[in-house]
Amino acid sequence: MKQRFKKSAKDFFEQQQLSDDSLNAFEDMLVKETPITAVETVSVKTRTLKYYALAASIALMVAVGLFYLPGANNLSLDIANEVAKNHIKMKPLEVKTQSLSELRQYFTALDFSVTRSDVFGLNLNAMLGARYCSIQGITAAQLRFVNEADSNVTLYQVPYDAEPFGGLPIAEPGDSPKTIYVRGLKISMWVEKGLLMVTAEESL
Amino acid sequence: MIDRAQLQKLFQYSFSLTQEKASAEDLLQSSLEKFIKLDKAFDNPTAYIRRIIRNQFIDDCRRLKIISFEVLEEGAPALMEDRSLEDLQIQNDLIEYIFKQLATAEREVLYLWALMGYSATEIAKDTGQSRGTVLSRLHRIKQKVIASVQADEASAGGSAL
Repeated sequence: MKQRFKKSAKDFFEQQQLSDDSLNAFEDMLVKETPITAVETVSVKTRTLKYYALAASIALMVAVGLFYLPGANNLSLDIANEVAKNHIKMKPLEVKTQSLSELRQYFTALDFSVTRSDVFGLNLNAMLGARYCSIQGITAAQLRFVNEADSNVTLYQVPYDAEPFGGLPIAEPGDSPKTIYVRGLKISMWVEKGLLMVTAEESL
Repeated sequence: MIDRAQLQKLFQYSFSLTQEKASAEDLLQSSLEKFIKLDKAFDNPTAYIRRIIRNQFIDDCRRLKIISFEVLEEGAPALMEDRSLEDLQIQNDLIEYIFKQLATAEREVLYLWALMGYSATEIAKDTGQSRGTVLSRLHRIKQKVIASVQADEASAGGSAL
């Protein structure tokens, strides 16, 4: 018996079902770990206690942030920590080149075009190569350079979205990059040409 | 909060990429773990989780050195509009065979078009590709459906002799 292709494809996808056990496990995982703001089925008393706990946590984070990291928010710190880990690991390069066009040919799985930065201080002659990586779960490009002191400097590029990355300085109107020091590294981040750019280098 | 129906759809999206149920479940689990770690509320969490699934799948393929999303050549033929696919009719039991003939990116487009009911423009926005690329993928799906139907009919005709 014949039927429309679209209906047939829809039915086929709908036949692929998680088992009840798997569904329950995923639901448990989400309920246990979902942020407090998304949990609706709690008693008033529990909710009040959670608000107090949340308020105390926020106050503590703000206090720590103000004391140690003036101006840095949690998202920037998360990005800085993730980039610092990537920098320290120094996983092998997947492509070795000093050519931007060769880089673009290699990065076929990216949803953006790797581009030259006017803010980043090193030019392509200092580039060693690149590899895929991810920032906050989003596929990114890591470009590796060597500076005059013969130290590695990594530049990360990923499409900028305010939701996962938060508000950050924008290069085009002349904002200066945001700088955070983590794990002995200097991490700078800014938005340029619609991309989030982050650099990691040894702090002097 | 993500309900059971949304979890099923996210699983079906993972399946459209992996083609295999066990891998789809693993992919969904690792993506949900990443989503939870973000510890944020989203207006449209399922769209965001789909994005995590896609990126996780690309990462996994890269690790295993599998080509996941092939690049379309410049000027690849494209459908004039996505509606022209809707007129095709197939035998009920042919869909699984057709699904196996499709490349990853084509299966993803098929999921968004057939199950989610998205237009080419909406698919382009959801996947971060140009509308032309989506129409090219829909064109390839159409070509593969037609080829599969013709092969099926020829085979049925042959066996009747």
